[in-house]
Amino acid sequence: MYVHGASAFICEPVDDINRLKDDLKQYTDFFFRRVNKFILLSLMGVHQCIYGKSISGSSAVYLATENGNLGDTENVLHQLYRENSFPKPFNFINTMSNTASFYVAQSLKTRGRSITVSSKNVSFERGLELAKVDFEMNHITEALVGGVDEAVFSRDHFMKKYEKAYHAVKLVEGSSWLYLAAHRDGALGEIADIKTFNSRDDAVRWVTSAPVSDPIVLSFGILIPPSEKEIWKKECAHEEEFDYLTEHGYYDTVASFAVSKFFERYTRKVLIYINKNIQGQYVILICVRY
Amino acid sequence: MEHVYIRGRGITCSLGSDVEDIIARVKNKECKTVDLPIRIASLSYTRPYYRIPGSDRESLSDLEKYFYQVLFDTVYRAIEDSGLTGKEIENCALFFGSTSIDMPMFEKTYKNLEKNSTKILSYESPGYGKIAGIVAERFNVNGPCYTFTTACTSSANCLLYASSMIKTGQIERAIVIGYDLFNELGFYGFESLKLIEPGAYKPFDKNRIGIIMGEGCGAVVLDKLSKSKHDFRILAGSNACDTFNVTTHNSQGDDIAQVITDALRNCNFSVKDIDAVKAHATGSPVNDVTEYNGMKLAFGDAMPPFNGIKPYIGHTVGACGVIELIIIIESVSRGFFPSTPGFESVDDEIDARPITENLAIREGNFMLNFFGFGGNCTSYIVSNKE
Repeated sequence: MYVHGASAFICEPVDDINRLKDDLKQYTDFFFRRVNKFILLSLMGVHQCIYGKSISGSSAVYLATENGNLGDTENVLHQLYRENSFPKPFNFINTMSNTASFYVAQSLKTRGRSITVSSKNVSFERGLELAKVDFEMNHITEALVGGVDEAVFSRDHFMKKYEKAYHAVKLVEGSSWLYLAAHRDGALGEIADIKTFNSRDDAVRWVTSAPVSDPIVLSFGILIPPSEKEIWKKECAHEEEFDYLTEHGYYDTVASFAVSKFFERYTRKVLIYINKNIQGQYVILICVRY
Repeated sequence: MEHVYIRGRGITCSLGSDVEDIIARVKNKECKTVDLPIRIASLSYTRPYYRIPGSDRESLSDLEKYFYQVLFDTVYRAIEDSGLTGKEIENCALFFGSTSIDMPMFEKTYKNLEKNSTKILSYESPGYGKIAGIVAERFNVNGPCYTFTTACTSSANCLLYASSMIKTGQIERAIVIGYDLFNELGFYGFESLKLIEPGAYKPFDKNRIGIIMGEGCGAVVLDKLSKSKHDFRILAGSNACDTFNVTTHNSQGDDIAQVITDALRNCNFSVKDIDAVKAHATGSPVNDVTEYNGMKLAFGDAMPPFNGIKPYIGHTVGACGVIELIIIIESVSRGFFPSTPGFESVDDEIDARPITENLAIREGNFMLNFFGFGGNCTSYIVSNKE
C-alpha cells in the first residue's frame, strides 16, 4: 500500500462546533448541515489529507474509531430519558458512527466501500488491515484510512484504562488520515507491513529480522510503559524515538496521528510503530518514508 | 486462493435457539411478535417487536448478565458445531458486527443516573471494541478482533472481510458474530422516523408500511477446511457506499445494481448462475422500491426467485448479515428456500413478486443482499454446489 497523502489533525477539545465548520471551509466547499462534532472531525482530517489532490470516484473509506460518535448518542439519550420525548430524527441517525464515513464518502464524491471499524486500542491498525486485504483482492485501487476520535474527558476512565496520570498527556480531539493507492508513482512512502503477535518475544524477533535499509524511527502506543520502551530501544537498532504523545497529545485512535505525522515530518526513514492492546497483543506497523 | 467454508453455526432469535426447531417454524411460516408499549411523551400505544423468548432484564445486572448469556451461548454453539478443537479456536480472528453494540446496558445506566449528569458517554464509554475483546477472552481466542459498525450491513461486512482474509491467507479461520439486542434508542429512533409497521410484516407488499424490529445473535465459524462435504462456502461478494442520502438509497437502484453486479463478477458468475436471492426486504415503502429497482437493473429478464425473511425474525439490524445467512443455509440444507410471509398484493409501482411458498431446493448458489443507513450496500454469494 503506497502512501500518497497524509493528514495529522488534532485540536484542543471543541465546545463550539462552528469553529470546526469554519476551519473546514478552508479545505472543502461541501455543504454540510445537521452534522455533529464527530462527523466534522472526520471531514476535517480527510479533507486536509486529500487537499489539492484528485481522487478516484471508487476510492474506499475505512474510518477507524474507538468510541465513535459520543455527542449525538448522548443527545438522544437525553431526549429519551430526560425530556421524555422521541429522539430527533437527525440526532438518531447520527448516533450511528457510520454516518461519518458516509459524509466522508459523499463529500469526496466516491462510491467505493465505506467501512467503520473498531478494535480495542488498535483500531487504526485494523482499518489498515482491511484496506490491505481489499488491495490484495484487487477490490480497490485507492483508499482513505483514518483514525477519528473525540477527546477523552474522564480522569477515572483514562487512569484506569492506561494506568497513567490524567495530566501525563494532553487530551485532544483527532482525525488523521492516509491516502493510499496501489501504484507507487509519486508516493510519499508505503505501509510495508502490519502484524499481530501474542507475545513480546515473537514481536521482537519479527521486528529485529525485518529487512530495513533506512534509519529507524521507533514510536510507541500509549500502553507501552517507559520501562518496556527502554527494552525495545535496546533490542531494536534505531536512530531516534518519535514521542508524539508528549509532543502533541492523545486521542483514542492516535496511532493514525503518529503514522501521518511521521510521513509529514521525516524523509528516508523507516517508522516501526509498536502498539499494544489491553489483552497484551502487540500490533507492529512498519512504514517507509521515501 | 483458499476456499472459505461455513463449518459451524449458532443462532438465538425470536424463534428460539434450536436450529432444527427454528427451521421447522420457518418451513411452517410461523411468525411471532410481541406488542411493546410506547412509554414516552405520555403516549399509550404499542408497536410489534420480535423478542427473544423468556428473559428477565429489568435491572441493569440482569440485563448485563442476559446480554452476555445470549452472546456466549450462541458463540459456544457455533464453536461446538464447527468441531474445531480449543487449540484451533485459539488462532481464530474474531469479527463482531452490530448496530447497537452495548447500547442496551448503556441506556439502562444512563436512565439510572442523576438527572443533571452531562457528558456521561464521554466519561463512561468503554469503546466499540469492548464486546469483541470480552468474547475473545471468554473463548480463549488469540487472533485479531474487528468490530464493524456499518448499520444494517455490519455483520454482512464482517463475513465479507473474514472470508477475504482467509482467502488471502492473512488468517486461517474466523468466528463471525452478528448481535443486536433490544434497545430503546433504536426502537424509539425508528418510531420517530415513522418507519415501524404497526400490523404484520409484509415486505414488497402493496400495503407495506414499514419495518418490524427484532433482536438476535448469530455466529458462524469460517475455515479454509470443511467439516463435511455438505458445508456451504462463501464464494465472494461486494460492498459499496451509495452517497445519495444518509437514510435512503437512490431510488433508481443504480448503486444497488452495481454491488450485485460486482458480487457476481467477483465470483465469475453471470446472473443465470444464481438459483435464488435473499433480498434485504425491510418492508419500508421506499427501500423496497429501491432494492427491487436495483435487482431489476442487475438481473434484467433473468430474475431468480427471491424472498424476504424478516417476517420470521424481524429486522435484526446489524446482526441480520449472519442471522439471515444461517436461516437460509439451514433451510436449503433441509431442502427448501423459505417463502415470504405477509406478501399478498403486488405493488404495481415495482411489480416485485417474492416467493410465497417454500421453494424446493437442496443445492445451489444463493445471493444474500443487505442495505442500510449510511449508504451501505453489501451483497455476498454462498454455495453448496459441488
